[in-house]
Amino acid sequence: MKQVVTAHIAHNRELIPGIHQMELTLPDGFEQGHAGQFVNVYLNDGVHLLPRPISICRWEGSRLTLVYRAGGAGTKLMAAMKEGETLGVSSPLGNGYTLPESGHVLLVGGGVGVPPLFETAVEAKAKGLKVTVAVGYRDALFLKEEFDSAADEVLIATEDGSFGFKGNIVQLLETKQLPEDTVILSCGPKPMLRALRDFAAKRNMKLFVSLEERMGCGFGACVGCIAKLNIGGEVVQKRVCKDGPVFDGSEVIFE
Amino acid sequence: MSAKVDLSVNFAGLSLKNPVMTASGTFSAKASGEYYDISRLGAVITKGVAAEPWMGNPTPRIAETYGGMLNAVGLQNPGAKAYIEEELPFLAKYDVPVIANLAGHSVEEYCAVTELLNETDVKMFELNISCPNVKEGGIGFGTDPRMAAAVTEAVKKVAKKPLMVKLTPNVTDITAIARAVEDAGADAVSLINTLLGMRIDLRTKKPLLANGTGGFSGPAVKPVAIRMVYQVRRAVKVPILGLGGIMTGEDAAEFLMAGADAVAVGTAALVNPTAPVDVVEGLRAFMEQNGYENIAALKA
Repeated sequence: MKQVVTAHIAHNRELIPGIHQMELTLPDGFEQGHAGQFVNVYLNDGVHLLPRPISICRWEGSRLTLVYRAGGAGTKLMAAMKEGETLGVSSPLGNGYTLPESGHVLLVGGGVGVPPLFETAVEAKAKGLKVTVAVGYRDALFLKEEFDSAADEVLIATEDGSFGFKGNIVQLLETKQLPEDTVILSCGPKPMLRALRDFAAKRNMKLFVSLEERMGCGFGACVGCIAKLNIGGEVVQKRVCKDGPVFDGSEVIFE
Repeated sequence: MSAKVDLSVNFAGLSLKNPVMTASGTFSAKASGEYYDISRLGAVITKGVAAEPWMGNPTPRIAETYGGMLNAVGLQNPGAKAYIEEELPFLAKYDVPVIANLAGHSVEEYCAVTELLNETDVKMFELNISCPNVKEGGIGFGTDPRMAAAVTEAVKKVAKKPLMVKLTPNVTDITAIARAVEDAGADAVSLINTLLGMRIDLRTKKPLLANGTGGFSGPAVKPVAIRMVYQVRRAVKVPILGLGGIMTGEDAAEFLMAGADAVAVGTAALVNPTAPVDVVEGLRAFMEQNGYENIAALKA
């Protein structure tokens, strides 16, 4: 059965302004999540009732690392929490990325869509895949050392050009030669995903996108978060939390 | 003190092992069943279903507020055919009565879905009369005693199961609507549906929800729901399903004492996936601690 458990905060710190990293200690024997899944974080403060769905940045045994943007009321409260305090954490949710059996994966992320690519890079590397990480930031970088250690190649773009390529990450990818069997796994803002869809279509590459949507329950009950897909010419609505968050990029309707 | 309490109730002819149900729109057999054994509930009320599939509203459909939330899902549902072929067979694996929540845009649509579900194992219908009546300028059926009675009477005529009517709190006098649907043949009433609310996005200065308004629910609305259950108890004789902000067994007890005969857990299930069964156990513990042997003793 899926469950919500009490997790203890082992570390909680700001990586760059507005982006925080929280390491949580989970009970032994808890179901382990994998690349592209997320957990529901429950503040248990009696006021902010809905869970915060947060992607898995790294999951090693009983240690779960979340990297999140303190943008709304709930995540700001998370950012203010101290070592030793507790939060409710759900079993891993969502479908996650399906890694190919062999070949090359290109992991493309932007902004707060960057964190789940770390777990993905680690798992892809462990599977023997060639891993390229391509990440875009506004200005300040985070998780760079982690990607350097996990991936074969790391491509970086910043909007202001303060590090790496000046521009967005898809513009950087346009300048690159990539193996024909590349599978693209991505997470980031919709404009980036849309540009990536066109990029993948041009190069005839498989693309999987992880979508973000305002969620209610986060486990498939309330139908609050939906994505529209075009499946064989028919418009189909899928729950981002339960049927996703990862979808075939060629099927997503970006509105 | 007796350690063994009897939670069973008879609700409008249905024998339930306990008085706790899931509230419509907050329960999915497959998703909720991953967190607890659905058979432990008194009954389940499934998500609103219409004769034909509905796409629902655009996103965002959800917004949070202090002690509650707003939703504007817009009753997205796969239609009666998919409900009969997918949801009901899945629920048949559990030892739990199923109550189907019915949605429609017109009296004809409500009757159509009722007839489609008549031959299923559904044990009761719950009529969601908070939908706008497209044939009368989009006014909610449930906000007008005459329209509420008309749709209740029409559905009652074709329904082969007991009919419960779900009342909206967005009215001047909920007892007038309750009396109207009782007179029109309702076998039970459920209340409250969500309160109409809105939030504004401080960046865009526009409503947070794509639909503009949304239904406000969660523990913040509980006093409104308790007040209305208390008033309706004094206005009608039919059984009352009480809901609105129930988070704990004590909350359920409060509704039962206010006059409800059974209760439903809604938003709490989004806040805590096991909330419906936690409410069952919380109610049992409350009764044990206070020496209530059965629900009648708790209500007395």
